[in-house]
Amino acid sequence: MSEVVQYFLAGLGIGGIYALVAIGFHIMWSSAKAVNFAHGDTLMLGAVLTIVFLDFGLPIAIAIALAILVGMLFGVVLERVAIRPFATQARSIGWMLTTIAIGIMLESYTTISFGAFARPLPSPLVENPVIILGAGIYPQELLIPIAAIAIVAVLHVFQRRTQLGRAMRAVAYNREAAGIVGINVTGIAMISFAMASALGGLSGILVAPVIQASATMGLLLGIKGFAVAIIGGITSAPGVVIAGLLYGVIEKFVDGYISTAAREAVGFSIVILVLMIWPQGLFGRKEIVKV
Amino acid sequence: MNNREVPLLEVENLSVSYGKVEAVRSVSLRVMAGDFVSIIGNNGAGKSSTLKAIAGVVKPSGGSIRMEGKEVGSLPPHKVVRHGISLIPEGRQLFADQTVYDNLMLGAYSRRREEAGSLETDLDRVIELFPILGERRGQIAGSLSGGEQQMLALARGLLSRPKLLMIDEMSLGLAPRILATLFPVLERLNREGLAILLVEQLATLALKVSLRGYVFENSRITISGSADDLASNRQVIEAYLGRRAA
Ligand SMILES: Nc1ncnc2c1ncn2[C@@H]1O[C@H](COP(=O)(O)OP(=O)(O)OP(=O)(O)O)[C@@H](O)[C@H]1O
Ligand SMILES: [Mg+2]
Repeated sequence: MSEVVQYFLAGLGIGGIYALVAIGFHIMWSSAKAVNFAHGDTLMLGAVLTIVFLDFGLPIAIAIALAILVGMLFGVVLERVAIRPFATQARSIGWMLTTIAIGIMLESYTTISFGAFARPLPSPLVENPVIILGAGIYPQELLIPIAAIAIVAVLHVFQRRTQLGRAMRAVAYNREAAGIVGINVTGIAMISFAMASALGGLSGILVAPVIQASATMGLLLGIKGFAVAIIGGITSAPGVVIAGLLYGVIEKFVDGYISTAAREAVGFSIVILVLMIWPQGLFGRKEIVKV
Repeated sequence: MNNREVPLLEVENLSVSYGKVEAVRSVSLRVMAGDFVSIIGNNGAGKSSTLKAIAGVVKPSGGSIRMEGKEVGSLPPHKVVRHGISLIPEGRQLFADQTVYDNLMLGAYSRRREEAGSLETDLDRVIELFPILGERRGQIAGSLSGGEQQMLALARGLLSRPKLLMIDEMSLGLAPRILATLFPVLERLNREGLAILLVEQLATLALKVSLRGYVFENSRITISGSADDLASNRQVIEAYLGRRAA
């Protein structure tokens, strides 16, 4: 019993991170019909820079705020130089290559300057586990899925109650009509990337106390977050959160009952299977592309 | 106010190309303040492309577009709206996944903050024009009937407070009963000072409500004149008004 609870709660913890990453992909895709494949590295930037700023002796709150800010700038700059030239004008998929390439370069640079080893990000929420139904779990791991659900709830209200939120949905639905009513479509894309990347930086900081920070921490998180976004249905924010949490839980059970080696094989097999049955993802909507 | 001597929109030698296809060839037209102008012509003649170029949705390949004397030909659509030009596009192009209210609010997106105070008044005004939109406020736009969707598209276009309203194929797919309520609304808006540029398949109806007209043929303007002159022009009657000249 306690074992089941253990796997379930730990699964929600890591699944919450997949969910947060996937929300970022959802936000980017909605406005630009393109994503930053280096989004996982935005998490890495958030985590690694927080540690670096703490090393400088900055207070934790300022270190976190600065790290998120840099993560946000990374996303905005990347949208401008690596995505916009391809995604909007030329209808090319060059952005796939450029964003992956920039991610790899950033990882290499971080390995050189930060070091090739992993370092923990201190958090008071990983000092003592709490016991729930016999399972020991760090409060930090409980915080992550709660943050993911809270963020998607806030996003939901924001998209329906504010002019900026309505404009973001309008751009997602029909760019041409959005322009006609006076929405600056490229401006909305920039704001979306800023939001997604700030969220990415924050996600990295949330997960780093649990999995440790390193130059390459973002790689698998980014890929799994993207997989989750696709199977959840990238057009649906609640959909990708549910998919993220589920994926994390399934992963932990496979990890616990079969083996760590089986984890990725089973996880990605499920992804492929789901996509074969529901090509739009579990909660996705068919994209209406008007040219 | 209703000074039809003052040019509002001046299009000169406008050309639009899609790759090798030249959709609009050296078209010149004018809309005066308070004017009501119709564009008629066959399918593929370049009517929509002309409106889209004016709205900034497609880039002209040549010519100039001036609104109140200011060149707007190279501006993106969100900036053209701020010059007082509003396009009700062919096929309505509503934000079908959002509510009626959201669509109206998006229509008002281009307003500057200092104009925000008048928003409630303007919302009341479009709901007075189309009362059904008030009743359907919370309904998802995609689930409205065709007529209701066209009303919402018109209302959305009006909420940017345009000086020039361009409407592309308003009648498309609508029953005569609904057209009988929509056309009088246009006439009323025009009487109140709004200039209208109407692209319409139903040429008879269009020429009845408008003051002037242009006939598009093969990407060019071939005939232009007052609506009455066009309605009695033999070529126009034969080609577009669906009855033979006497
Ligand atoms: N996005 C596009 N890409 C390529 N060609 C286009 C595009 N839009 C229009 N065209 C072509 O340009 C020409 C003019 O089209 P346009 O839509 O302006 O005509 P129209 O007068 O509005 O016709 P209709 O009465 O059918 O609406 C047509 O030959 C059309 O096929
Ligand atoms: Mg047309």
